[in-house]
Amino acid sequence: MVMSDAFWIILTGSLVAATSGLLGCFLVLRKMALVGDAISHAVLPGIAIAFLISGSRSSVPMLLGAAAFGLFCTVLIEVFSKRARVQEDAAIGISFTWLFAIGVILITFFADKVDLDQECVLYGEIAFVGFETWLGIPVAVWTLGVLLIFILAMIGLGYKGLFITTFDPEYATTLGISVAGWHYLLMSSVSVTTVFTFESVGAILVVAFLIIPAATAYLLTHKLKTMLLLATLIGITSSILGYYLALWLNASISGSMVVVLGVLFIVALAVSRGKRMQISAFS
Amino acid sequence: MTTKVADPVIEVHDLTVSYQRKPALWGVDFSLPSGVLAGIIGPNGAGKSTLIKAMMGLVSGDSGYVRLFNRPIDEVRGKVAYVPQRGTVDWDFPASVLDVVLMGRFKKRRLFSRLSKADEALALRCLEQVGMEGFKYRQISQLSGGQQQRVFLARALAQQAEIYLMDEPFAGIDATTEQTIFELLGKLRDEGKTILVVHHDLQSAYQYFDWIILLNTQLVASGPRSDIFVPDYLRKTYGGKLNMLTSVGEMLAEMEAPTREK
Repeated sequence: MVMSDAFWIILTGSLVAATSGLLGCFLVLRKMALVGDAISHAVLPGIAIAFLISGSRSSVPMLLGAAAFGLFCTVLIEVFSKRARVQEDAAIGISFTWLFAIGVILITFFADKVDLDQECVLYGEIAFVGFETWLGIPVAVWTLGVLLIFILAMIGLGYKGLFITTFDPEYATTLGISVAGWHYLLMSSVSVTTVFTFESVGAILVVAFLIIPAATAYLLTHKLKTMLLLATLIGITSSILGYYLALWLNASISGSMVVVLGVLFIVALAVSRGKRMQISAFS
Repeated sequence: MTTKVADPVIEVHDLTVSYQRKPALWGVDFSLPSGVLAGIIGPNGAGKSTLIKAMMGLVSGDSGYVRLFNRPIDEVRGKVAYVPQRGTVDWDFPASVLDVVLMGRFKKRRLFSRLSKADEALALRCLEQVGMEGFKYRQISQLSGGQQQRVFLARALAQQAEIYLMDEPFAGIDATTEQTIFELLGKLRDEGKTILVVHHDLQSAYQYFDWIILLNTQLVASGPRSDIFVPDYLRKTYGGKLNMLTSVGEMLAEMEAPTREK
């Protein structure tokens, strides 16, 4: 069975969008959208160092390196904002731009030794997803598929823990639930997801996939479970429409997907405003 | 003045808590018997909320200790329920009233298992107790302040605890709701539960609480209502706060020349 490139590209995009969208819901509700941004950039030196040490693009060292730096970034933010009493947004800005810059330098510095270029890291290239296959299926689809299953399992099993520590962390603490534990579980999931997705959509656009589907879903529902489902569906829709938009414009595929996400967000905004005006008109 | 209790269910000893080197609580020392409805009274910034947060282990003290049932809080969390100020959470969160009340059934060890039918039935009974059973599927963003407060109360009730610590549960709610909640707290007290409430209104404090803790960074007095509501202690608690002095003064005048006893 031979699937067309279009199918694999759309499927890869959907897997990226669904996984990021699910995690993004919790980031948005925790008002930590920018921490997602920070993590997605801060993993870069981890990826570069892993490449440098292992000399290959194999996933395991990359994953470890990136997850370590993603977590390191969240710890830095905590230390700067809580201990050193820098404002939180400033702490985020300092931590991730600095780590990202180190990553950029590392990559330029070792670019001739490893098969990794800046363009790819920053912007990703989903069009080449079909080049590397295993059992006839692109490697990216395998890895992203496994990742989605893990994230689904994490959210499924940990739903109550994520829910209560997001809604009311103080109260969760009084029940003896480890708020920090759940925080770092979520943060490491975001780090790992960023690593798996950066090859397809790049370190910059992954933020869009983390935040926009979740923020759009938030406008459309008042139920957390529905929000998670909607964010997934919105991600998949953007992946399909974005692919054809890119084809039509002959432009970057991941860029087009994000443009579609933005449009969907604006539509959702209009719909939710319209609904609210209707309600106030009738009451 | 502090009334010593022989067999205290709550014991706070020499507790000092500070925020960025400024003391919020200074050497606070008191104990509570079981089965009382107690109020923590004091002016703004007196450290009332800090006191119950320290008792719940949410802020750590510089010195002293807190014992509940003669144990540190971490060993008895299953028997202690906390009602936070309602302003501490985002009420636009995508959740229903029942979702929030069910959190009272979450426990550290049971976090990965499903809630049972019994948990849900209990949550509904707790909503009934606060008069909110008709709102179980309502989105929490659509609740009024008083309703939000009652949802938090129902969540604490769902814990089926022995001690209840409540942070300003009457802030910004109407008189009817206040009375309903006080009646409910009285019922809990009659069942032998111990309830400690951060409260700011002296008038209703005198009416409802049977034990009063007067606090202004330091403990001013702690004991049965009639021992504590004397002009001296109240002046000591509110002294220096000019805007409070008038209303306290009026109240003291009323107390010193009571027209009738309820």
